[in-house]
Amino acid sequence: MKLSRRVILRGASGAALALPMLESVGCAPSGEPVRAVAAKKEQPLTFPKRIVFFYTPNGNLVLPPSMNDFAGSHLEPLVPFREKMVLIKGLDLLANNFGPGEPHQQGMAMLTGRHLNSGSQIGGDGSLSGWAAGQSVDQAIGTEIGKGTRFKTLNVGVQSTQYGGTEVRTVLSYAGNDQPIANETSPYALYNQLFSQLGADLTSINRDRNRRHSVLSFVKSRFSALTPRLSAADRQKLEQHLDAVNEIDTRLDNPSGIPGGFCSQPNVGAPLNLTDPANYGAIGTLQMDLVSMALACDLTRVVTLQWSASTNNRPYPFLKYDDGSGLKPIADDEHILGHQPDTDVHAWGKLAVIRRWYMSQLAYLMGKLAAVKEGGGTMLDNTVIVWCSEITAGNTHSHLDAPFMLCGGAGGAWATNRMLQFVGDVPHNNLLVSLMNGMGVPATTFGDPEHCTGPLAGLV
Amino acid sequence: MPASPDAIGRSREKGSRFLRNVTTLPLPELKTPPPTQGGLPVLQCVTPRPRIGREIKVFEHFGARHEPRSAPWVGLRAALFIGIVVTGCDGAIDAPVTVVTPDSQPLSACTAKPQPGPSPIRRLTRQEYDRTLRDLAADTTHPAAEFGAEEEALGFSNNAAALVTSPGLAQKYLAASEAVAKRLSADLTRVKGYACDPAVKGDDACASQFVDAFGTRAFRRALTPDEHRALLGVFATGRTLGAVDAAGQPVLPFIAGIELVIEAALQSPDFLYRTEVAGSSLSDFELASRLSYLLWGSMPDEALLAAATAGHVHQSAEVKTQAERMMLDPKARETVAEFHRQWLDFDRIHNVGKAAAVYPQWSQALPDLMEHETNAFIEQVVFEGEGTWDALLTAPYSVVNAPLAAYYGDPASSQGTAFQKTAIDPARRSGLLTQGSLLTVNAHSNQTSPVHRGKLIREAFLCDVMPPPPKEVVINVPEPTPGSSARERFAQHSSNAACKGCHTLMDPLGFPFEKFDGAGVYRETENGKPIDDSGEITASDVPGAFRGVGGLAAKLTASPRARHCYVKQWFRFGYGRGETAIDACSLEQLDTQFEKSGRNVKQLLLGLTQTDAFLYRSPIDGGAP
Repeated sequence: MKLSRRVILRGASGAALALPMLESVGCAPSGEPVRAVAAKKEQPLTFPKRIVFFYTPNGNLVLPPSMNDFAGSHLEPLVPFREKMVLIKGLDLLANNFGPGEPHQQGMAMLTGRHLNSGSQIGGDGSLSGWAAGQSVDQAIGTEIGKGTRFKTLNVGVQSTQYGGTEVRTVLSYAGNDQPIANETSPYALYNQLFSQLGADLTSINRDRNRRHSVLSFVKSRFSALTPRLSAADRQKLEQHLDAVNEIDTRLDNPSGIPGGFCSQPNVGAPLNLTDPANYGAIGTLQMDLVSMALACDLTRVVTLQWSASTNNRPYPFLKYDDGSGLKPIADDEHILGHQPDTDVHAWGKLAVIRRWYMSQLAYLMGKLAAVKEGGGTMLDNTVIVWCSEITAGNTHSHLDAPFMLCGGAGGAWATNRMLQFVGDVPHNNLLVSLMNGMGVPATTFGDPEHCTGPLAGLV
Repeated sequence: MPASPDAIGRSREKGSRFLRNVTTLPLPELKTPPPTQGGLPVLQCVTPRPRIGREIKVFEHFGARHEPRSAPWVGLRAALFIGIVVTGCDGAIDAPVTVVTPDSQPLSACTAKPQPGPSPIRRLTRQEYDRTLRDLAADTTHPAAEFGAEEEALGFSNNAAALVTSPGLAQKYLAASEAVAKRLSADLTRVKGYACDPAVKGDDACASQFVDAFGTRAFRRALTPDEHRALLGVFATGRTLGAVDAAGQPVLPFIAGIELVIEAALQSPDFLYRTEVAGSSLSDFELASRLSYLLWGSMPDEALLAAATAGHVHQSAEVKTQAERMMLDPKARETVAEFHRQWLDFDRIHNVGKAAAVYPQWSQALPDLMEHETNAFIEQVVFEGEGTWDALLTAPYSVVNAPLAAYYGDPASSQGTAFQKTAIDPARRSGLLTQGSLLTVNAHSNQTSPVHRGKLIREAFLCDVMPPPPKEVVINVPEPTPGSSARERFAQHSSNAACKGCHTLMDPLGFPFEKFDGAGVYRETENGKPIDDSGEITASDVPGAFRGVGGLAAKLTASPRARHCYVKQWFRFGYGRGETAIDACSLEQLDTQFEKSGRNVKQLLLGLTQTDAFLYRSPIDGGAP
């Protein structure tokens, strides 16, 4: 729904509302383009950079030989966006290539650039692991570029909690060592978090903010009273909780999310069954719509979007494959398909259908961002979507030669429409450093320093 | 000094949960024609993993598992209970049990000084949160539904060490507390212990009464004067700021203040965690909370709070009297159901799919029916019938309705859609292990899985730890070809040296299930051949051959180790943590009590309220007293 003019007017006249954020999202109260208003006030015209990590499970994506070979490859749906992409071949998830855990678990720590701790979580083959051993790069970037936005990061999942609980294969993001950040897998809960306040009048926004501050201030005092009386381990647990409370308290004062222009309340439609595999695509579309709108409203600048848990063992009943006996829904367990040898034509034929479908989802998200005008370009030009997976392929479970894709202009951080190919042991941590730098966050190393040699050579 | 709870939660001495995920991720089924031997497909147990380009590092996953536990406080007697025995298979077989009975007094782990073990602070799980609000605010809207699944450890979702709070969860606590507060403040008659009319007594007097009534119940203890004052401060702020009702209309200032008090209380660590800070021993209120969350998964009721206020939840006998009263409440039934659900994971039946070509009778209605059967059966045995562990494994009845009985093809049929206790032919079925829920979850989509069924017995029932297959192994489950039996298809497990070590521990415990197909239906033949349902149990305290699930159940009921394992699973669930060496006495107390009661499950729950681990707490390391 579009928001009333009155609401926009009140929002824009609120003292705490920063104009530069309005610029990226549309109209000013006078009806002039916001940019014009901003120019009069001599505000610099800036558009924030954003980063989205787009994870799909079980590897198995094959990048074409060159930027001219998208047609016929898994990347065919991305043909319209080819010129805004960088394909990267030959990086190795070296920091994740050893235990604890099995490869599907190990690779899920890739955004931390560190290995997993020991623990009691059971992987696909029974291996045990704990959580990852450090902060993930989305958090590191969000802490810097997310200042002033409501959500330092948004961590979103599409049916990504499928083993009955949150575990190492169902999360990508970590606040720190042993501090996993669970994904929001419900589009309805995500909608409430993001947009329930959008459109409220300023008086009620202020009242609710003050009420919440008052509650959280009491809650913090309770944490302070209790913590000294607990054991060291319990103290740590409550301190983590207190950090979380502090973060939501800070969110209250971050007024981003000003409706107008491209920022409006999306429609999430009638509730879907969130666990039915048949709804996987529809849920993904909803989550991408919400993510795109959260970016357009500048509610956040950093997103992780996790499609399924790693080892994804679910079918794709909404996709069809013809094994010679006619088109049929793909009822197979995807993880099992990936285990088959390369010679198994139908297993890999089905996986190709699945991969192409994932690439069409990526194209959908790029299209959504490209539809938001920012200055002379679009939001896609100011964003990088990083495609990644936890292993290279299901029948090797290798972490070596793991493909990556950088989609979008990244605010001009690097040239696009090219392919980088690395030989030898090049740790993917180097890419993480470059992503930080590309988003304007200074860094020379990230994750396990044993597996990082600086920014990725040749990207910039 | 006790080990830190963190270390305990992450210790390698894990129980029985390989099963869960391994069955969630069924083994790959071979798509290319398998090599054959004498007309039968051969299991490709070990083939080198393909490598690309460079050598892939293979991590030695169980290397660390065998490190001896050498903490100075691990005594020999304690080690009896928690030590692990490594077999030829690279797993861990649970240690033998010493049961102390009044007649025989072998070495006991108990000493005059209580040995409580660690007691980590516990955050409410989603279920506990919902049930607590049901009892605190008569709110049955399941506000925790949005919180997201708990981290699991040791097979249970309430393990204290695994529960951490992210900003996302904190945000949901905020949203839930606001929604609950709005509903509750609109009808304050739902608040127990509060009856005050602000028009008569004034806002301040009523607010003070509200803070006492609600605060005491939300924090499950008496408030300190400081806490009382602070909550009244929240009230004053809320009163000044005002609030609107669900329809957006302003509410009375008094209500706006009360609403804020509710929000503040529900986001406090005092509500969200079961904090124990009274000192080196547990306060009556803290013990009352331990009791109510153990037996009910919820807050203390009025009677228990009153007893705690009066100082009568202190002696073990007082605790027991309360526990006996509480076991009569229907809320105890929910807890018993919840334990069994998490222990055996049979609710995963909602995630299984069955190949229509192989199981044409399978339908989407069956998972609900089968799950209900198992829940109702457990309730019947524990609360209405024999009440014993033995009966859980051997009862010659189930609780079914007509459609489910018809699906099973059981001659003794039930009437109508209502579930009722129904006798079954013990020559075919008896007890938990023969129920559709467990049989279908522990099977492939197109055939049985002797491996998973055997693994279930090893891990859930004997508390052994089976290792994953070696990393280099590519596992291909043989396709069920015409004329072959599962025993033949899985034969390579016992002939191939690389498979044998572990599979001879598991498969012979799975073959006895072969008279039940992968969708839980009884059969006499497979592919036209009579089924051989003989089995054998090794590396156990009841070694030997047996026949069918009935024979297996007889072995398990005769096995002290299996009973000890059941006790241990309750310990983990009930106390929200893994057992440590220090808990040897508590486990011994439980084993002894369980035996004395004729292995009565309700008595075991009562026993859980009488151990050192439950009645005492260790002094806090590094915390102020």
